[in-house]
Amino acid sequence: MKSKKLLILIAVLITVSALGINNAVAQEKMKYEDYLIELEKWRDREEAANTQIATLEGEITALRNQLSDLDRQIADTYNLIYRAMNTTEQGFRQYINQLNRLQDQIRGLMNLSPGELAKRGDEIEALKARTEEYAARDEAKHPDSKRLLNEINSLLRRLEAAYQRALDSMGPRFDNYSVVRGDYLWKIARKPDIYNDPFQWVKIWTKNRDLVTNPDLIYPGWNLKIYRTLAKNDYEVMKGDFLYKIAGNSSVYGDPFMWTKIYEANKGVISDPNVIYPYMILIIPDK
Amino acid sequence: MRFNTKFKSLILGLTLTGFVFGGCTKYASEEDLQALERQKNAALAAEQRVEELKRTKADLERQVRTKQSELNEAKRILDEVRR
Repeated sequence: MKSKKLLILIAVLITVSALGINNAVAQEKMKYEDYLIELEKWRDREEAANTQIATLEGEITALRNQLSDLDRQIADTYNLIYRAMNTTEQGFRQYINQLNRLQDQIRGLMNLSPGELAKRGDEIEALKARTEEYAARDEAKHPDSKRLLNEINSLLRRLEAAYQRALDSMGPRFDNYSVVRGDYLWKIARKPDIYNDPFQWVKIWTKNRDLVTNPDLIYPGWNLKIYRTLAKNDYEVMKGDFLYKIAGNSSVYGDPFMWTKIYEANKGVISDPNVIYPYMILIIPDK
Repeated sequence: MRFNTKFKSLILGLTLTGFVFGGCTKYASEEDLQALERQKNAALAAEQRVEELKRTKADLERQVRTKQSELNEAKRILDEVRR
């Protein structure tokens, strides 16, 4: 009986071992069913990917066509822009370069010392004239041009202010003129290198009032100062001015009743406070 | 005696059953597995291509938006210049 039980146990063990060996071998292989399932899965994925590829390639072609069309429209629009400005692309680039150079020149002047800047009045006038010339051209209609011209005009205003400050700090500029026989103030003022305007004889008289007490009497050898700029507290009378109006001017006193102060300071040249002449240079005393 | 014969048959039967059930399953052959590997590689390559094309498409869409802005700006400048 015992031996039978033992034999049954051995049989069961052999069966189990046989099953176990077969499973171990099977794990290194893929079951055919699983292979088919895997194969189908990868085929489906490839098919789905190929469908997406076809769609994407179509969309990409459409986008490339759209890009080409946009490039063409942009080029056409810019051609219309240049035509509206009566120029070409190259011509417009040159214009912008010229504005940039102008801007650099103005900045260069602003970096000068006051002493140097005070000598550059002609150059500043030339820059202003060039700016006006550029602003009058058709290329000035472009927004980039407008922006640059605004910057240039802002720089010019600052440059002019700096130039004026430089002049003020140096005092008024003048040339010397030596009176010769036959000269009189009207004749001297008429000379092209003086004022080229005989009516400005009054300026010569009032700015040399210490020497010329009587404007009808000047003598050979006298050294007259021909002023090119005015001092800070000088006022040049203009047509239509009178003392009450001058004193009321905001750049003078802003109070017309202070006309008496102006009269007192200029009694040497104003005999009658109701009578003043254009081109007279009046001293405006401080308040 | 009869019992021993039956018993031996039982043992033999169990042993054979164990081997039979373990050895009758069908498996994929070596060629099948190679074919599966090729299919897998093809699918992965196709999916990679899809990703590349998506990136290309996104880049082109970005370029189109930029160009459209450029065109709008050019039209605005043209209006201003014509004023």
